[in-house]
Amino acid sequence: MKKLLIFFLFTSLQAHAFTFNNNIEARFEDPSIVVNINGADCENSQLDPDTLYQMAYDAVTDYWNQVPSSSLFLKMGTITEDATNTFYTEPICSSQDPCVPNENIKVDKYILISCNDDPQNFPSKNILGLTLTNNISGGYIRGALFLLNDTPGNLFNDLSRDEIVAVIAHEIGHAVGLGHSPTEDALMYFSLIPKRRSVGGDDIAGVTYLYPKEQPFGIISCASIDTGGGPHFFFPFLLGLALISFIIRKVKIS
Amino acid sequence: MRKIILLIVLLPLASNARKNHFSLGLEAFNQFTGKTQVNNEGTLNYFSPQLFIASEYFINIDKENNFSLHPNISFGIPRTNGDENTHSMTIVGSFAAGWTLDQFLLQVGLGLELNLIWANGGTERLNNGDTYTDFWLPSGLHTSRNLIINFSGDWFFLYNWALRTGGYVYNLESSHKRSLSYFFGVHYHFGAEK
Ligand SMILES: [Zn+2]
Repeated sequence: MKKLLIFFLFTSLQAHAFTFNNNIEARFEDPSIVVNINGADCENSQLDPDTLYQMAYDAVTDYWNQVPSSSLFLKMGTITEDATNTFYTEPICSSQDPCVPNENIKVDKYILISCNDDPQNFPSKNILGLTLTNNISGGYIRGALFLLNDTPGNLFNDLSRDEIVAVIAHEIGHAVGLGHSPTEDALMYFSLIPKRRSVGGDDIAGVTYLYPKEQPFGIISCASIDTGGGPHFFFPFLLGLALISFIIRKVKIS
Repeated sequence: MRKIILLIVLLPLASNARKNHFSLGLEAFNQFTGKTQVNNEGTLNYFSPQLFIASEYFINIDKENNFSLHPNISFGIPRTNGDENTHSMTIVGSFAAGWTLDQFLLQVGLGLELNLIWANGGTERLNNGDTYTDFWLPSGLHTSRNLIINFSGDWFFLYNWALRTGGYVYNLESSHKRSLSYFFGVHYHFGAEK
């Protein structure tokens, strides 16, 4: 039997845990969200910042950015060099039960991914990562922190690259406001499954609920944040079709 | 110029006019093909259809050339996506131009797909790694809207009965979110006599 690998989610008092977000406060205001990587080396899991950056790129590209009915679009930012050691070593909560977010590692903006070797954060090696939306104000998530377990003996060395990408995608799901799903085919299921290739139906429902696509009015902003290439001709194309339909009708009437 | 455009569009079509009428169909609808994982073995939703009920009006605007217009509204049965506490439902409204060629009707048009997602709030106890946690459920209804290009083909195997297949195209502007849904089913045409 496959070893059970476990994700972990922390939540502060402000940030409710949810299967789908039931709370308008617990989402980013702008669905175009940047993912940054902390520049500290992951000494125990052989994941240097550049490798982590590439894996996070695959996580956002292969999973969350694929959802047609959602406006959520995650973009890779930079490998940051600010307070790298603080994010690597400090506990995510300054006190537990309930978790009071540690102000020293509050994320100013967007999502930050960092390795972390604090045993308080990772009492078990089975915990692969933990995510806290540790900057919430004005009713929205402003910043979220995702820490990868880099304590000695962590399980990342036993995982395939695809599995690590799936772990990162799962934790990014928490960072944007999703809780766990009870269904195994969902990326937000609490543990890894034998083969993960895409988001599940429950993930699509969750991220669509939080960040619904709102065309036609949202189409221009959507096009402007999609750096995936391809001509932005959809709206003119629609206008063209409508115009042709109108002309044909006018010809017929006359 | 306008008449030339019309001529080019309509020239190849044989005359097989029907009068204005209403049709009702049952369809299998496969949403966002290949975008969704459906089990823990990595299978994607190339064939995971849901039941759709489709209604359509046939407006014959050019009987000689078999040119027609088709306002259509289709909706799925509310579903749960595996989590019984949350529900979603898809509704599609579209407006298409149609051309009849003997027993075949081809359509292309534009529309809007709505995905309604709702739950009644409360919490759900779920595994959270080394413990169980009460996760909050959504409270209320949120709706997404996608512009679609819709296309379909009908084969009238009897005068009032047609087999239909077609699809919706989403997000042409986005290489990531571009997607295709497809459907197939049967339609009954009420009072479609010439
Ligand atoms: Zn989790």
